[in-house]
Amino acid sequence: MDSMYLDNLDESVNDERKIVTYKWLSLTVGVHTNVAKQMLYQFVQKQRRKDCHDLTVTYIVSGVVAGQAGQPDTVKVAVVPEDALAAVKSEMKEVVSVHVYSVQRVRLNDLSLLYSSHYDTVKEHINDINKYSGIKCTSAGLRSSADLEKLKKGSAYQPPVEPPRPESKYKPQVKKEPLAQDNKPVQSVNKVGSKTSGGKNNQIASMFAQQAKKVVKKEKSEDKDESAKPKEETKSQAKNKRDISSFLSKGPSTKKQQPVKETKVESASSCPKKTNASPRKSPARDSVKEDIIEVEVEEKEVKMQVDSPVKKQQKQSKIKAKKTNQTNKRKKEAEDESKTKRKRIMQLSDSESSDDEEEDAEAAKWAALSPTPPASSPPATLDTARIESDSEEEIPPTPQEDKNGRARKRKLVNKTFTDEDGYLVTKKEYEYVDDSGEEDAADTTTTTTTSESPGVSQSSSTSATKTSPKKTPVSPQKKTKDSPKKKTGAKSSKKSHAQDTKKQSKIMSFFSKK
Amino acid sequence: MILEGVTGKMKCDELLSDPQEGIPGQAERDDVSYENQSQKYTLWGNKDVTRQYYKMYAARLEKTRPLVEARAASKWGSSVSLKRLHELAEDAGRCYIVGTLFKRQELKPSILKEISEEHQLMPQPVAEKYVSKEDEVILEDEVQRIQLVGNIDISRQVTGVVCAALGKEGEGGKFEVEDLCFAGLPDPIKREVVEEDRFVLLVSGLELSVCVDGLLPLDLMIDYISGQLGHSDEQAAVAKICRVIIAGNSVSCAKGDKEKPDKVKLVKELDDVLSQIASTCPVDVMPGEFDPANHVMPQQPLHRCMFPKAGRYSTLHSVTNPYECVVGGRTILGTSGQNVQDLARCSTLEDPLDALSSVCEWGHLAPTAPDTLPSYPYDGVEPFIIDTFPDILFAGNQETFSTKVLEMSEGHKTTLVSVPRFVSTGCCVLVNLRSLQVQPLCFSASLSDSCVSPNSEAEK
Amino acid sequence: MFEARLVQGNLLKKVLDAIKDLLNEASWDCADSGIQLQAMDNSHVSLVSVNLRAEGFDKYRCDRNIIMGMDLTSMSKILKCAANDDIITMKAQDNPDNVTFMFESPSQEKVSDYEMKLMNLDQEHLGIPETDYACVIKMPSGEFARICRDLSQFGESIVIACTKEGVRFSAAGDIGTANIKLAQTSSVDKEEDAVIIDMQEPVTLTFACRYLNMFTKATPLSPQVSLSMSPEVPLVVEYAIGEIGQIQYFLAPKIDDQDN
Repeated sequence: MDSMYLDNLDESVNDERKIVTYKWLSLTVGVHTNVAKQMLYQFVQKQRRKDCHDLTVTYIVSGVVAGQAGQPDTVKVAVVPEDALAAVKSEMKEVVSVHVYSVQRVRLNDLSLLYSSHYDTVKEHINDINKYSGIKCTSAGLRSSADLEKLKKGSAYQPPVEPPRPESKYKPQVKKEPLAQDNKPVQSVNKVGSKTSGGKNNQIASMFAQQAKKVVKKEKSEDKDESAKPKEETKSQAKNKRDISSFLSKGPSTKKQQPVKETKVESASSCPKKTNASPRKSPARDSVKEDIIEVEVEEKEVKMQVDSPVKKQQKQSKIKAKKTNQTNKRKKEAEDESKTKRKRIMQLSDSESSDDEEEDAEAAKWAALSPTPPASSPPATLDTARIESDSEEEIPPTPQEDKNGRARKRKLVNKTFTDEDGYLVTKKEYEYVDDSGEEDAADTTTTTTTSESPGVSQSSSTSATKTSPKKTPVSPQKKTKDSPKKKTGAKSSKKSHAQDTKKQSKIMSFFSKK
Repeated sequence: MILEGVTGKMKCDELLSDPQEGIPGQAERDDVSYENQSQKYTLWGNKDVTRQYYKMYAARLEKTRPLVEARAASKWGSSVSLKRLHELAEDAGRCYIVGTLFKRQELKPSILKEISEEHQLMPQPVAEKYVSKEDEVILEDEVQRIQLVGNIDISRQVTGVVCAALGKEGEGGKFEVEDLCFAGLPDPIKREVVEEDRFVLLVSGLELSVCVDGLLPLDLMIDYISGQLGHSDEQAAVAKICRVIIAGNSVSCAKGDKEKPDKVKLVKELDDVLSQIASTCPVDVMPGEFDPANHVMPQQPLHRCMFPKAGRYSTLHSVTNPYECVVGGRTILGTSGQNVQDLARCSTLEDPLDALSSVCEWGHLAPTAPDTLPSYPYDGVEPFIIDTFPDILFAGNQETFSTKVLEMSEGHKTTLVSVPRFVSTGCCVLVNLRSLQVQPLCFSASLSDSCVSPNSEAEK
Repeated sequence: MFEARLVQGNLLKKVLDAIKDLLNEASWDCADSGIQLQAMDNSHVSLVSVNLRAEGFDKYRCDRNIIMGMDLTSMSKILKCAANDDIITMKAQDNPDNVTFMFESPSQEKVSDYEMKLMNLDQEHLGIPETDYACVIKMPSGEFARICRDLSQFGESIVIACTKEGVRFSAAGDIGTANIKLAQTSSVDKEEDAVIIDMQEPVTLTFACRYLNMFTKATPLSPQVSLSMSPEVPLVVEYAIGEIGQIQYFLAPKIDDQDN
């Protein structure tokens, strides 16, 4: 071994033209690093004695360089080629050690080659790199696998601790100023419905479960005059009528007011009932936390509550006048109606005990009802009759989810019908229209009485020859949700550098409507 | 210093000889007591970022106020009294008020200006330094604020410092300052200091990158620490280095490169580097500005999973930035340099030692957090207040090496160290724990080598 | 009453496949001359126009002009119930609420009928002026579909440049760039494999890949596709529907907004 290394070195340096550093030598031959340095030195001497002067040598010089005034001395460790060795040594205040760093055949123009020369060997021996070094560290032990496991678990992701949130002082209040609401479809829309499609049994079960809860119903619902809209009766609606009695949409309502224009098609979130309901209730109720469970009585019959602006028109209109919450004289009436209406709407009020009892009673009555059309079941009261035909309350319809999974959306739609006096009335209403265009229920927001033939539309719909639900921008947005899904989603994330500056123009800018 | 006495014993050319019989021995790495004191900087499991920052300032004022008041009282005597801002009136006479400084700087980037940019109003100039002649300093306490004028060097103050201002209320509702007083550092705890020479190696800015050129000095440094270089006496001396602290920016940034460096590859390289060091010496890795760690201060330790090879060694510790530890009885406190850089941006404290002295004077590691230095929104605690007297205070990733011993008013001394970026200077810093002497250690590997001193930059 | 009987039922199936991805609902205008559909997609970037001539149907009767608004997804579902060789008959009353589809198997053994509700849709018909296009390219539809598919991997838009040398389709993106050049074919075995370029002036326009890929869903309808382009004018992608009509897609180009 002793002399073999010389031959190996000879081979590596001279034949393979390798750059041999002391580190490479130490790791490859397996000797202490200091021995490797000496080996290199010996090799160089031998070669030079043989008059072989092609070798270039680099040295490591370590020493102390005097610091500038006031600054401490610097310890300097440098790799220097042989010809610069003397110069570097002379610049140092003290030279601590000098030894060979590398030996190579080639002339080194770039010392970083030295690094790459033993890079691979170092990587190979990374686990015991310091086996041959001058220092060993006993505390540098490998962790046991048990230790590592523990550390892994300890540093695994822990979801941040939820900071304690103070009790929210905000209790969803029923709005006291219906004036604040305008006719825009920002009304609280009951979009509960997705859960109704879960099956009748679910609804009934939830209905029974909810009976115990106390929630104030804020919503009044208005029934639409069925007779006025023969057109809109479609088969599905007929089906729905049978289902309606089983509609008890689950879930407390949040007080969010969702504009019709929102593209959320899923009607999973239950919107708060129209806050108009509250003023007519006693204030005590308002302060109570309200969870509303909306009940879909009949999709066609129930409508969203209307605001005060509508109130006036209600008085004019002979058809389902919207309940005006604000008028006290109607209040009682409304309350009665609402209560009976609320039989179907699982309202859980919690403030007034009497009301509670009433409602409990009603709820109990309701519990006894089987999921049959309301016509057959409710106790004989005026109200129920009214409910069937045209109760003045509106229960916002529960948007049904299609089999397609497309929930109904509220659309602002013109409905024309003949009222009692023979007037043709065109109303702008909110309808729940799903993608197949079924018109299931409508909300009256404005009513206009005309004596024209159908076709006079007070809405902003354009040249429709029939009063038809306007394709609101809601639907396109909704539909774009569908269509892009069908397309490859990846495409949307691609960037095109060259075409970044281009804007997609609309086809409408080239063709105009006929 | 570290290599004192080594030259005397052995000829420096010892290894320029033929190999001898027998296997040379290995020196034992010296051990030294160690305690990690950085628990207050850890955020694991407690990351609620929905808070507002004012709570941090409130905590800062609350905690620092008593310290400042005590110091002010002792400094200015009992002739002047402490007044709250709301008690100030024109005829209040000389008094001192305590509050947090707020420096109004035009050039400081402001979110409102950013928003106004969106609305195509005046765009913000992008400035490296926010200092300008029109800066103003305002003192705020919990309820009020008042502008400070007078004997106050505005350019050396920064937002977020809690101070006491001695003076009187002047015209126009401004407070004419005579003197300022800060919280300072707490009294040092008496600890048992190591009796022999033990060294800590501070290095920062390794900035591993795809470019191979700068890697030979790093290789030399690793070899030096592991005892591969030098002769056996030298290696025995090196064995006295009992800890290595890597102060950030171990991975390079992508600035200016067309191709962003593959950080995964770089972290793998770092893993190899660290496993070489960790197998021979305890090492603490701090995250820095460019490292894959969170951006806000305090930066959390680099995750274990990044170091599969090095992590097997029990000597590898991944620590927070800022980092505080007690090694051999000496308290070492330092950062990867972001606080100092931010101070340089907001004030004329460009020299890192100047900035570190101010840090000691103020008793706060990063007063500009969270104003211009991104910080986690603390609630009720303020971890950047220096609550232990540091024997050694360092800031990594500076341009050059420099060091100074700062004497505090009570006669306590602290050593300030500016650790240079290794990638550009090839220098790291050795600190002797017993004597608190600081010495740079330079590695060079260039053909045109001409003994570049690490301080030459400062001279220019 | 309206009745239209089509022996080649799969043509109607293919037509629905070609438009159902682009449109969710549309109105079929039935008149004496035949059935027409014109609708824009939701984003109002493209327009589809389908024309089925009365002569193409085996039996066609349309007493009154009726407009049937349909949900195309539902219609497509119904048509999927028809086999490829079925004879499809569409029936509706005057002022219809529903439309009936009847599928008869060629051997008359199996007859299915489906009734679908109609919708009231706003008529947003656009007037398409007769245009002389600067550049008309006829090429195999499969080729065009392949080109659109391939190029869409590279970028979001395809630049179609027609010069005297031929037509070049290009795309650029993060990965890189792609260019496909087609020259006029000199002689081909089959007429439908020919690439014929009729160019008045060179045109270069940029179009969104997304829409082009939706247009190419009509590839099964015809072996050839015709692309007509003119500067600053929508691209027309036209496929013949058997012998009975054609489907035209109009796509608004992407315009440089540097002059904003």
